[in-house]
Amino acid sequence: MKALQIEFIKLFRPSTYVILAILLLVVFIRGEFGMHLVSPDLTGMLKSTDAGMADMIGFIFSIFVIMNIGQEYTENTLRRSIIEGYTRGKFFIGKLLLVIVAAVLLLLVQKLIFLALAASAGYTKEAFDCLTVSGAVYSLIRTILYALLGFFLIFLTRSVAISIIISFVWTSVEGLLSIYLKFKYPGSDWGSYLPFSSLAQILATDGTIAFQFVFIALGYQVALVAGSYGLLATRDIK
Amino acid sequence: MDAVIQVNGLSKLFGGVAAVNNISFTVNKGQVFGLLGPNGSGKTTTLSMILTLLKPSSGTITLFGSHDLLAGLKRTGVLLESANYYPELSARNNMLISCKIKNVDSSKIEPALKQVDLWNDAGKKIKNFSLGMKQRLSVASALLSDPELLIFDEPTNGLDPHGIADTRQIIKDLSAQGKTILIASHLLNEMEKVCTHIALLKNGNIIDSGELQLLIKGYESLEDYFLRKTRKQS
Repeated sequence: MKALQIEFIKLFRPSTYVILAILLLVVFIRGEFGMHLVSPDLTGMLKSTDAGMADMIGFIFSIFVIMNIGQEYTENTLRRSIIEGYTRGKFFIGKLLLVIVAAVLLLLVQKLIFLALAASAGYTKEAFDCLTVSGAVYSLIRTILYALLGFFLIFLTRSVAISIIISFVWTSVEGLLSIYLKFKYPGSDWGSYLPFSSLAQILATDGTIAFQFVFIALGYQVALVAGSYGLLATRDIK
Repeated sequence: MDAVIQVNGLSKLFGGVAAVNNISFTVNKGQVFGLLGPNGSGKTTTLSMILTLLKPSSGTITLFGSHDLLAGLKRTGVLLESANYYPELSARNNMLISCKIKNVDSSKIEPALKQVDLWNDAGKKIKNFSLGMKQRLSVASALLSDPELLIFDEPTNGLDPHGIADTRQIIKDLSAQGKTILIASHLLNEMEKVCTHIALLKNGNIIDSGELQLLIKGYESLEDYFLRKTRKQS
């Protein structure tokens, strides 16, 4: 818990609030836009709006993670923490806990914004019906996967700019790779096992969860956490 | 004598080039030990390995007789050439982070900041601090846990004459309290005023070490000794 307390103290800086404000604004705009789409399928429209808002959180949150850890390198504060006797392991756990707690809180806020926007459009009951446990689990797994990708990239490159660029193009590269795999191995479905493609398979249209893909997504998350820690623990800090 | 720091056969290679080459030295309790050498001689690399920032290519380090350097660092105060604080956070919050890391009660922040005359600036962001203020904050942070060992890397670099005199006095006061101090510097006049023992580094090798007064016997000053020794080696 001490590691998490330290991370919360570090959040008292303007850049945190700027990113948070941008994040909530984008989510709000996406939600407001979604609520005013004309669709014969009201439930489908609301579900799509909710999922779209959660996706925005995942992507912008990964940028927050990259900046949060990147600043520890650029401001040499990671160096300072280590020489004061903070272990790399505790530093890592602090960041990981922050990611998980922040992801849960942000998704709660997103759901509240979704409900508020739906209520203002007169869809209160339908919006409540759209919010399911399986949907919330899916959003959480997706947001944490985005964040852990940011985690891995910043520990790998130690550069905020390069990490953000790679995370920007990642989903496009994955899409191209998926197409390539379809051509290379006709009839197979290897593309759906890629990180974000496998996520898309988790939630079936009837709202049930495909546990096979949940395990795949969790496997990617474990691999990203292990890889990130390996990079932090074994490399010199100059 | 109790060995506080023991370095044995320590080397660090960067891309096959030795920045530190098989050095050994011991810092005993109560000594003010200076690591002297020109720029690029391996002083900061050696300190970085003691501080666990760099992993040695070979050799061993013990702090307080143990290979668990992280445990030793909790009993150590460190003052680096560049003070690395969270610039957007206040001095108080930066100190609070140090307290949490070192398991020190936060009630020690106020006396520590008062000691270095920064209590009135406790709420100010670090980015608005002058270099001298940052250095004083580093001293306060280094002394938070009443450490038995202090490690200073170029502690007077960039300071004005008042700052240099203040830092010198702090080192002398700490030494008088029986603290063990390891300092890396190339400022010979300052080192001559505070050190009891030195090791002279050049190109990653220790070319001489021992008690300061014995080493400079027969030389005009530490500077004279340093120049003659390092020129002879080249």
